[in-house]
Amino acid sequence: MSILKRIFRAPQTTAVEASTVAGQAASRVSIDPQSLMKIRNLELRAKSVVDGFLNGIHRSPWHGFSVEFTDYRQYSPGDDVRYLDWKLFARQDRYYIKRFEDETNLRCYLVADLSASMEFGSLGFSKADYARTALATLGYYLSLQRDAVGLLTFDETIGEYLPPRYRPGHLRRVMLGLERATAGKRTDLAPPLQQISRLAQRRGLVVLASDLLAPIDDLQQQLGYLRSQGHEVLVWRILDPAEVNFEFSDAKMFEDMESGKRLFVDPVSVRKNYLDKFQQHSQQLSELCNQQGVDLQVMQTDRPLDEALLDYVKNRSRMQTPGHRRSNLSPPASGGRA
Amino acid sequence: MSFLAWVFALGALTIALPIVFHLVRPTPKGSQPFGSLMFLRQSPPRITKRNRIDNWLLLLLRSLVILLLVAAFMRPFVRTGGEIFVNDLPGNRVAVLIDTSSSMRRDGVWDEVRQALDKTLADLEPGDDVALFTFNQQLQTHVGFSEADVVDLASRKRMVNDQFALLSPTWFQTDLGNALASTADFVSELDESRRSETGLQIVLISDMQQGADLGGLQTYVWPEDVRVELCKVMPSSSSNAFARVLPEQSTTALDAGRRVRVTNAEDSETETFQVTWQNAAGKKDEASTTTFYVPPGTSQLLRVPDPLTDTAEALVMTGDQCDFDNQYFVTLPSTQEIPIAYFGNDLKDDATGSVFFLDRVIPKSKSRVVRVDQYSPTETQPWVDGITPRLAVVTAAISAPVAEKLDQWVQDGGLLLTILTDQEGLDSMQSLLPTFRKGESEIPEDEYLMFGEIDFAHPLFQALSGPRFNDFTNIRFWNRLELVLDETAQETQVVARFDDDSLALWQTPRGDGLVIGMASSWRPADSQLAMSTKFVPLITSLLGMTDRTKQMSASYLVGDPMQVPDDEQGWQVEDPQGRKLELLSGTGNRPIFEQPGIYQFRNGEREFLAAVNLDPTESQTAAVDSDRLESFDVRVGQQPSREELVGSLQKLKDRQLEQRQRIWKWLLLAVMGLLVVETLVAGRSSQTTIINEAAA
Repeated sequence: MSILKRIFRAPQTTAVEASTVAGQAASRVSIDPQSLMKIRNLELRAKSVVDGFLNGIHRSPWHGFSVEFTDYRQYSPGDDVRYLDWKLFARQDRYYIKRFEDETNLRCYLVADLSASMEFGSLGFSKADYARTALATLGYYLSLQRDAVGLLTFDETIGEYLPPRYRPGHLRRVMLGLERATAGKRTDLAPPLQQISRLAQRRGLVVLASDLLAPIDDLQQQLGYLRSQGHEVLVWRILDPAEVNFEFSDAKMFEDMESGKRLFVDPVSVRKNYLDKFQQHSQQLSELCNQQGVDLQVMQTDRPLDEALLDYVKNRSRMQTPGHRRSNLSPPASGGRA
Repeated sequence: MSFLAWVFALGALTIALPIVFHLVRPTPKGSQPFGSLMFLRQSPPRITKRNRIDNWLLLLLRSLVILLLVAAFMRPFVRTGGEIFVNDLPGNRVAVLIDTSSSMRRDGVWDEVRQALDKTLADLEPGDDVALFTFNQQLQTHVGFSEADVVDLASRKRMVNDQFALLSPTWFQTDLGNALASTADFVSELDESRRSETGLQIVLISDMQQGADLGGLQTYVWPEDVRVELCKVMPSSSSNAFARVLPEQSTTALDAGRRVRVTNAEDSETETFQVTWQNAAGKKDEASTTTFYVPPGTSQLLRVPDPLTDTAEALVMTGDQCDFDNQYFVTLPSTQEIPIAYFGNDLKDDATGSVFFLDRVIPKSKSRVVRVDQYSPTETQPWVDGITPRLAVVTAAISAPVAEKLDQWVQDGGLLLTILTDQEGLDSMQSLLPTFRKGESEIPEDEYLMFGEIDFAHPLFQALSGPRFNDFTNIRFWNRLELVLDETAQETQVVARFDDDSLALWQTPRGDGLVIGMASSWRPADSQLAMSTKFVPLITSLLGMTDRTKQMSASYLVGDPMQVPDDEQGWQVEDPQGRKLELLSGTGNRPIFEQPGIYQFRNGEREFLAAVNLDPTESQTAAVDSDRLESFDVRVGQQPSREELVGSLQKLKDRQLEQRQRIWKWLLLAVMGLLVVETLVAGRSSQTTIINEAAA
């Protein structure tokens, strides 16, 4: 079973079921990101999103996906007594340990880009806030399934690093690590990704949250590090609506938040040019991801987080359809999903 | 063309503003942080300076508008009349005011006055008028201002110098305030037309001592155009102290020595002084020499031993450098024995009688010893020691010879107090009090009387007239003789009545003397008078009435008017220099004490001495600054010179011309016209620009 498939424990979902999931998502009441960001505690913020997300899908046919019971085995000293079946002991006067289909073996790395450009935000909160919340949400969700979650934050250097573990208190450290991380200066993806490829011996899932506002050539090399280790790579591209639409009106000095460079710009006159270049960059990025076998999900900060997650589920469901194949060796004929 | 306000010419610099605004465009303010500029490029407008002027005509019009506005604010006018020259102006009026108070007697001061006067006269210009005034406690005019239109300055100077040669410092105090106010009035006595062009100046030559009285300036509104130039004259040494003999705090004090206070001036340089008594012959009583240590600005009070002889007349202080106030004159009265003749039957140790209280009521003091001599009421006896008593008190019925003797004594000026408590006593006094007869009513048993009506203007009760002392309701009378006064007795003055309206106290003049009667007594059986707090002051006032020189104060200040008892005629005064003066009666122009020392007053056999001293304020010789005058709004300083005056008058004339011509109005009209033209040109220019842009 694919790692991504196990994340959400999705059964064999048909296209019809996928559309049902989409319909369920549309009928749910999502939490407005601006309201969500007013919750100061990151863990509570993640819990709000996940609870809402689960409430939404509990009405779907997906209920019951969790760690599943398979069979019993004889108890031997050293086994965890928490898994003793006391009812069976009462009936047969013998100790049996319950065995489950899978015990935690997914290792997920949450990688957060906290460079200066991520501090931009036109909605009252920054892209970095949104990225923290999204990663915290995923971490919380995975920890509910007893998967190991690790953390790595970076700007031009590596900030926090926590190896993936599942043990009591670890999720709280991950949350604190995300909260503690402060904005850096420039973006440099190479060191963190090299670090992960060096440390992560077992295959796992790497979730990278970044705006990826960097030249395409650099990104190609950096994403290649991870795929070469066999990791499954999921990229959440966090973008502010102002960056996507560029709806400024007054001529002003625009200041690059990373380099500090200042440029006098009349937005009305340059908007078309900007949007063209932006689309071109996005297109190239999408192609690159497809080529590298990387899942790319664009998350605009004005969209509710649970909708973004459901979008991803929908795409993953479609990915599970027969005939779909992904590889970093043979790029697909058509463009990737964005 | 001239301008009144040249300072507004700076406004022409504002022409540069439209040019600068035209050439410079401000850099856009504010910046927009953005995630990445990788998709952006710089876009116009560019931040540059424009170095080219597009429309010269508009710039010219706008600059012209500013220039005309500036010219209007500068208040232009055309000078049509002639200019004012120095010779057109009248001369200044200069009043030289010289201090002649006693503090000017210090060493070197009068020489400096001479120099200051010479300098003032030398500084006068042709056409100036000068007058000479002096002041001490009064202002005196020695040379008034000239009445003539053309002033002969040389002759005026000569008159001032001649008058000054006759002057010298006096012993009087300093009334600087009134002197300045009066001099300012003299100086400013001019027509309004001449006054605006004439410089009014007072040259004050004074030592500006701290004790000078400036109170006269408090209510005086100082004329704005009168200036006071202060020429402060200083002595060769400023160390000065003075000594004063203070009165005893209690009349009963019998301590040895007299209280003397030595005060040292603030700017004094010495601290140790000796004080000693000196008699009229100038001989010092070395035994009484006392040393005082007084730091500058403080005073010390010590007891100086009494002089050995009664002839000492001055307390002399040595140790400072200013001698004018080092003598303090005193009259040292010897202990005065006052005999009182008592006619009664009781004895001095009989506490139920009257003489018991009379003998004890006046305590012995340094200046006065009261002696009560008892005489028989029935037999004539010679006066004890041959001394005529000052007061006679009769409490019993006297025989006819005694009454005759007392009558004669009263008519010669004696004061008789008769206590009438029965018909017998009244009958025995019939020769002295013929207008009285006994009434019928008596005080019922268990009843009493009080004083009901008192004439507090009478010398007997004057000291008790204050609201704290005029309560007599605690004095009760159980016995009294009701007396009825004949209607013909015009001379009798009722001093007090009982509350049943009967007579209590009265006085009747008889010859040169006076008879005071009382219808009760102070014996404890008759009344509570002797036991009350009012008894001592009443008897003291009675004794005071016997002193015919009581109106004379023992000590006077220089400048005080001379006083004699009851304005009597025939008094002769001998001043300390031995000069004699006859005092005329009446209260008209009474002579004043002109110098310190002992003055001797004589009228036949009667004589008394008066000690005259300097006003203590004259000894406060520390100098004060002109700030003290300025605090009374006195304009201190010199009048402007002729050239400055011409300048200010010319300005005044120019201002009047400008107000009459009002050229600024025409300039404002021109500005409005230019603004109309500028609007038209600017409108046409902007239209052309739009068409050109559209065509481009």
